[in-house]
Amino acid sequence: MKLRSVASMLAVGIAVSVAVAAWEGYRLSKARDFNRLVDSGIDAAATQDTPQAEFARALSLAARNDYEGAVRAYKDLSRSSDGDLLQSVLYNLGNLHLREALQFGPESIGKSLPLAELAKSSYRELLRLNPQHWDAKYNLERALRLAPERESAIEEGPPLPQNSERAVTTMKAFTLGLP
Amino acid sequence: MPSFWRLRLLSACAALALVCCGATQAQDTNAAAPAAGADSNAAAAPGTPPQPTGYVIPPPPDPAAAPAEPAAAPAEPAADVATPPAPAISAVNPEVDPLRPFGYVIGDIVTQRVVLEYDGKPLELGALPPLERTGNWFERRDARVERDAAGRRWLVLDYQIINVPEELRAIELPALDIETAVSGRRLQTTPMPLTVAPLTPNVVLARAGLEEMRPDDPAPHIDTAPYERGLHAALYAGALLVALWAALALLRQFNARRRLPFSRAQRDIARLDAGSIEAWRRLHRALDDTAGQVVRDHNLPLLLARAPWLAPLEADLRRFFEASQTRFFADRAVDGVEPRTLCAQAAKLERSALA
Repeated sequence: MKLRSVASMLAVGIAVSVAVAAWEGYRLSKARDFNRLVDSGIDAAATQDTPQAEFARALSLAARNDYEGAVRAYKDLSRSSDGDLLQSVLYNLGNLHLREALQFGPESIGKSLPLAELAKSSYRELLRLNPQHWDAKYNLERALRLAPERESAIEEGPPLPQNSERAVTTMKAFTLGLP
Repeated sequence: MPSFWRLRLLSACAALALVCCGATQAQDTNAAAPAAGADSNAAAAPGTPPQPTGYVIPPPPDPAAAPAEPAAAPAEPAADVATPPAPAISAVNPEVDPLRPFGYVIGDIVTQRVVLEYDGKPLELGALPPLERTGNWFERRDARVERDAAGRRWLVLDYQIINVPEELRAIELPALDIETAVSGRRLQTTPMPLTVAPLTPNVVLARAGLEEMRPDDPAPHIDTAPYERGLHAALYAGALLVALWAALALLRQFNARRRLPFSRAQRDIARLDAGSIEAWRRLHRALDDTAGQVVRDHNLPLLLARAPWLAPLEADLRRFFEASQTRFFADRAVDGVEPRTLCAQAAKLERSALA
């Protein structure tokens, strides 16, 4: 009777393992289908419902110059993903901001500066996760060329005398741009 | 009138005496000043206060040197006692693990290690330094206390370089000034110079891989390895379970053939002649063993109650008992009843029910 119980348990185990094998096979098949779609083009891959497909959708929006839509897609994805996918999301989000900032260029600093700051923030968040991400290092440096963070005169220069004025703008009875 | 004349003479003398005294003192100080200047040049005492020139107001009398004024003195020591002395802040400069001072680029992590010991005694920190941007170049990413193999405690600080100069230059890892658990004692380190270089030139080369910015990451492939591992694991587990189940089934059959009455009888009858009387006897013994008592035609229901899996063979068993009467008491063969066949059928039913 005892052997009969063991045999019953083994039979249940066989049924469970067959069910698990079927489920894993199904997921493997779906993943392979998605990878084939990615290889054929990001628009095809964007039709799926995995985080990787969301990424492909954001990439597709960015390729169509839909800046707002791509930022929204990447932001949504950054809240729900982790690991390598999160790193790619942060990197591409930084690239999106930097590309937009470079379009305005240093001539329109009022428009490019906030975008460059957003790009720097994304790259720095990524480098916090992975200090060896060389593409992020490269692009962060490009963003810093566009919007440099130089040491202030207070930090670099000799110590100021006590109670001295620190900048022209704080001087009394002197207004820039007025006669 | 004579009294007025005397008074004027007395005041004139007093005025003359005052003028004479002042001139004498002025000559003394003027004579001392060059001597002091010569001393300072010769001895070059940097802490010496500048010597006054001209008229000098004499310093107030030293209370210790003038104990003759006891009335005014008690007020000042009372004030000293009432105000507590300001806490003396002392700085502790512990050993700092030397860093590689060159070869850094943006994003690199610089780990500073400061031993938490001073004069052979452990240093307890009031709080770890906050994780924040420290200056123009670094951000403090992590601060923790670790213990090395020798049991010494270290304050370990991870800084990340988050900004880069336009050309290779030395920047300073910020100094530390942390409050320790001992009041008035602070842990302090000096800034440490490191050289940091940019990765990119000011003007991009616009060659392959060195453009204005590095390209986007492509859409990632789904990693199929976990699914493959899961599938293989499930298949291996299933195969193993099937093998175990088969082995167990074999074991059960083996046990049944060795233990169960009809199975044992089937094995024995197989070695006997098909029509021999021993075969009939062996089947009778198997029936008796199954029922736990002697079974004949009249108490067949008792056997079926004990072994209900034999119910499909009830008619065959009745025929067997009738034929057995003829075989044993009339001593003649009976057609249509074969003990070997009946035993094999009973053994099969027995194993499927009990094995």
